[in-house]
Amino acid sequence: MGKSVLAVDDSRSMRQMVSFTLKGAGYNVVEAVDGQDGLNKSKDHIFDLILTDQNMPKMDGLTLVRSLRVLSNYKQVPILMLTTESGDEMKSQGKQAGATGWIVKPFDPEKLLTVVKKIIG
Amino acid sequence: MKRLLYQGSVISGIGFVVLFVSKENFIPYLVLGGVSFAWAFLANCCITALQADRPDHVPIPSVLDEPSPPVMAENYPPVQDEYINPPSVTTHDNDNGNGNGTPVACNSSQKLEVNRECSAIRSEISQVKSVLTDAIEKLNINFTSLEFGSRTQQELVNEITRGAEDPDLQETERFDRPIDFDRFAVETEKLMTELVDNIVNTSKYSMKLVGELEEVTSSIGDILSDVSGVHSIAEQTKVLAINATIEAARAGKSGKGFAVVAHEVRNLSDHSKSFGERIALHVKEIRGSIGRAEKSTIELASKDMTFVLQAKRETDKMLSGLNLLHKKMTDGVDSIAQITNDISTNVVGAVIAMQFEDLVSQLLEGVLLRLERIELVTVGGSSETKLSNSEAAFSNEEDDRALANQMSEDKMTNKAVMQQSLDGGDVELF
Repeated sequence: MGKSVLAVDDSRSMRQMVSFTLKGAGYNVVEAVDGQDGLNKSKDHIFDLILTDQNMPKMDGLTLVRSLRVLSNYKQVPILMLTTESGDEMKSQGKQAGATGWIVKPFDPEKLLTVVKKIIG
Repeated sequence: MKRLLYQGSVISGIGFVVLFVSKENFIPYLVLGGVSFAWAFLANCCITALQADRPDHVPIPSVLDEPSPPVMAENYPPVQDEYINPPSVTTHDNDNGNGNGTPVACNSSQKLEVNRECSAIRSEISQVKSVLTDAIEKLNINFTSLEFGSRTQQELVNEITRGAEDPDLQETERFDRPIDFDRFAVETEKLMTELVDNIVNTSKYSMKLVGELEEVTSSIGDILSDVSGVHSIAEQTKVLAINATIEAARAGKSGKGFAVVAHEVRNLSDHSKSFGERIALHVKEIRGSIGRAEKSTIELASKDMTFVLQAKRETDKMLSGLNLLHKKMTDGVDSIAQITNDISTNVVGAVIAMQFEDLVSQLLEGVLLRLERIELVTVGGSSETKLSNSEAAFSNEEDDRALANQMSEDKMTNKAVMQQSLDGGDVELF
């Protein structure tokens, strides 16, 4: 059974692109429409990796990361930010929040796959 | 200020349209051009609304009015407070055009008009976002399907051409797989060479055998000669037995026993003669058989090798033709592989480029925010967006400056909008 990945993004097409990219490599992908939705789904199922956007309604990506890192099941789970934000300050905030890495949109599907494989195999 | 925004947006729109026409990857430029024109339309609406009731109103030239002369400052007096401040806002002693500094408010019909235009812009921007998202989703599905189909095709071609030469296959599995052409050609050539060599060797050995058979035939001649010697001995023994019988008869009664011996010797001589004749008969039969074998062997040895060599040459020619065909097939497969790779590369590029939808959506969100601010500073906000009046309580010039500053700050702080490159973004692991 493939590893499970949670893709959190308020853009339907972005979720779809992430999903297509990872499903093609054998990963199971669950989609969430914003940070709150992602947090709820993370409580229902323990994912092997979480990919999240930053700017989303209801709950942004960094808040989601902080909320997940509080949960005992998600202290070690890799969380990648996938966002148009590219400033060093934001990246620093992401690192402090507990994000594992930072991918700037638009993402290269092959690069994304390489990173995901490197992190969760 | 708004006029500058309007003109800037129109120029940007034209710029993006030019890029759209000149670039292969036109979709982002088309959308960005559309956004610029929408922004220009928004600015134009605001200015038009502000000027609607002005006695000295000079219409803002449309992009389509070119090359009409640019509107000069004297033809386009400064926008007055009464057209941009909300009704509840009181302005202070600015030059409002009537010279008396009296607070002036937008009338309800102006507010209604601006609100209506803003709502229409909001609705159209939402529609653009929706259409864009749907289109990108479909494009994404199509491109992904295209890549999947292309890869499947490549795998099928590989499967067909790879045959049994897959090094991962077990020996038992190879029997169930079609043979690889290279292997087929090599095996066939090897078999044909072995066949011709065997035929040539057979001919050579047959010639040798003919020589051996000739020697055997010669030896049989010697045997027959020896057998005739046996016949001669038997004849001489018979004569000797007759003489012995005569001598026994002459000896009378005492020679009676000797006569019996002489008779037996004569019988033995007859048997020897008969035996020799039978041997000679058999040897003659053997000589006949060997003679026929020798004849057949000679025929075999002297068989014309031209046909075999010709067959080998024909087979070589056919293999050469097949080799050429195989090379064409291999080249075709390589081309298909290259095309598949190109498709994959292009699809990856398309997937990256299609993410402009996310960027454009965020830009449109920014446009909506600016629309709200413009609405606020002109008519005090719509029913949808209410900010405190203090935010909009600026004099004409202060208002322009504040709006410009706010927009500038927004632009500075809105990093999502700053991300405009459609190349793949960086990846950083902490």
